[in-house]
Amino acid sequence: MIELQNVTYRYEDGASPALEDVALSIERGEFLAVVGHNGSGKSTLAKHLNALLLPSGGKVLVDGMDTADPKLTLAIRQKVGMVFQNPDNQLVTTVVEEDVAFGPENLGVPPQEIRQRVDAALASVGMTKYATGAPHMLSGGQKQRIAIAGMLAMEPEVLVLDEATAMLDPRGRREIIETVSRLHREKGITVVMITQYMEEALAASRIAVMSEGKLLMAGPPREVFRQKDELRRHRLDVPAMKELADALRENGVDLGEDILTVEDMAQAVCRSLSKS
Amino acid sequence: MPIVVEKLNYTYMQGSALTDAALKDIGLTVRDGEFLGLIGHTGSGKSTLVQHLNGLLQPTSGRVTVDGYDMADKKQRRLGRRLVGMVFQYPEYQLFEETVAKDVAFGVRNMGVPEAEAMARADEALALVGLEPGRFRDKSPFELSGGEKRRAALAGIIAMKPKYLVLDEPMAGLDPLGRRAILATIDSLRATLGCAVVMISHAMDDLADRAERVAVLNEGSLLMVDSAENVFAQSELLVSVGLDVPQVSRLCMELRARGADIPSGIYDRAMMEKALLRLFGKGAEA
Repeated sequence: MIELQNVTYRYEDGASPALEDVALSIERGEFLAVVGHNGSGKSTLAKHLNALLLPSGGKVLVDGMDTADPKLTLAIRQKVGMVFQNPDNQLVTTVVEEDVAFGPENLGVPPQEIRQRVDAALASVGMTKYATGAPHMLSGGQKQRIAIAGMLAMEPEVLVLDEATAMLDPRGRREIIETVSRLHREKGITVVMITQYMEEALAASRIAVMSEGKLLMAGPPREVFRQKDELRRHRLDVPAMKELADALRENGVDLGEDILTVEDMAQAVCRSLSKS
Repeated sequence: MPIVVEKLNYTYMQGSALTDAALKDIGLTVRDGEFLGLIGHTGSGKSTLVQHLNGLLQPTSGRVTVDGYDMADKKQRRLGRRLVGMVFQYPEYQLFEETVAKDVAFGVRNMGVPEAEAMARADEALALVGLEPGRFRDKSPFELSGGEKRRAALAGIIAMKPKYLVLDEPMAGLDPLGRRAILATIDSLRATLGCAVVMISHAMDDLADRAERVAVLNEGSLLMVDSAENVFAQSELLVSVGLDVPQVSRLCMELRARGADIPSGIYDRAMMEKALLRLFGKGAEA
């Protein structure tokens, strides 16, 4: 779906590149999380996915379309929708449903179809009952869901969330992760989620780890966290349950390699108890 | 002597159509030298409550005293306020001076401390928050990274040598590295200065690791105040008011729900490790 071919990017005043030789292909229908510290290049990478930034070296292809070709920019942005960090500066109108309609109106979608798309988009983020309300009365999590609905109404194939949960409280974060997971599962939308929270990345089917502009590793969560020492060296977090499992193993209770979530741990403990 | 909050009620926009009770009948004591965590979901009144601790807000009814100073009295408030250092959310937005040292010394100078001593205290505070004075003193605050700015803002409060340090989500918006640096700074401040800390946070795992007591706010009322142990033991209740609980607490609930013989209320990793080892018969001596 999206191909990054040895992408390098240098900001105008930057001494070292913000992205260096990043090669990554994002498959149609996958849920990819991109993690890394501030300054690791993860947001710079996200902005390459819909031609907000163009590579200084290498190439980005979206469904075969080169993002460097200005004639294709519009078509690319229709395919790849982006939700940003701050819930307060992505909504532009005073009524929720008008905000969601804003994108498709700009695309020249016929009014009747807009109505359908808006209703469907609001339903898929669970915000139907706020359709005629005012965006500024909503919580951060609800605002981000409206921003997502605005993207959905444009019927993109890929949804990119650029630290869309960073400014939300735990409840808001959960709302967004649940919404995005459901959209991925039920509608088959390709999701790319940029986040600094390892626990959130566990919802994804694949994790790409960025460090100092380079792609450190990419793989299913279980494989990525097996390289705990490497992650540590780059001062990245390891899930708490993984730490607990490792501590238990050191004390002679081996519950298996791949425990990452509370659910994994609870299952492993019960399985192991029923055996003994 | 402690900070004592008695029967505090606070209503926004009193007497207007928008009257909204933000805090209802709060009774709470902040003890000398303790680490008190303050939790509650967004809108529960946490920030409104801490603004009463240094007299920025005045109760609609009820009383706040800091070491005996009545914060409703203008004269006493000035004295009480000096004891309470307040670090707001995103404090780095409040840096404004030409150099880091001047910024850090600003509050101290306002207290009437002579220039030379103010600068000495600024250096001392910078060192305490892990910003080496020689390197950072003469920099512009705007040259610092996000995490460094936040530590500089914290230093400005530390320089005033508060007896109580009130922190409103000190880690908000920082990446994991920045979060760890701030937490380490807070821990070392407590160790060296012995000040009491009141910390608002959504990071339950971090609070579980260091708070002695935890107060829980829900819709403007105090749901409970108790030892961290007793509060996190009630994870079902916390979840029911929309709060996160430490992951270990969630594991504890899950295991008990599946019938595993684990005591209720385990919230920290070391305790869980012991309980599981015991469960697998590897236990008691460990």
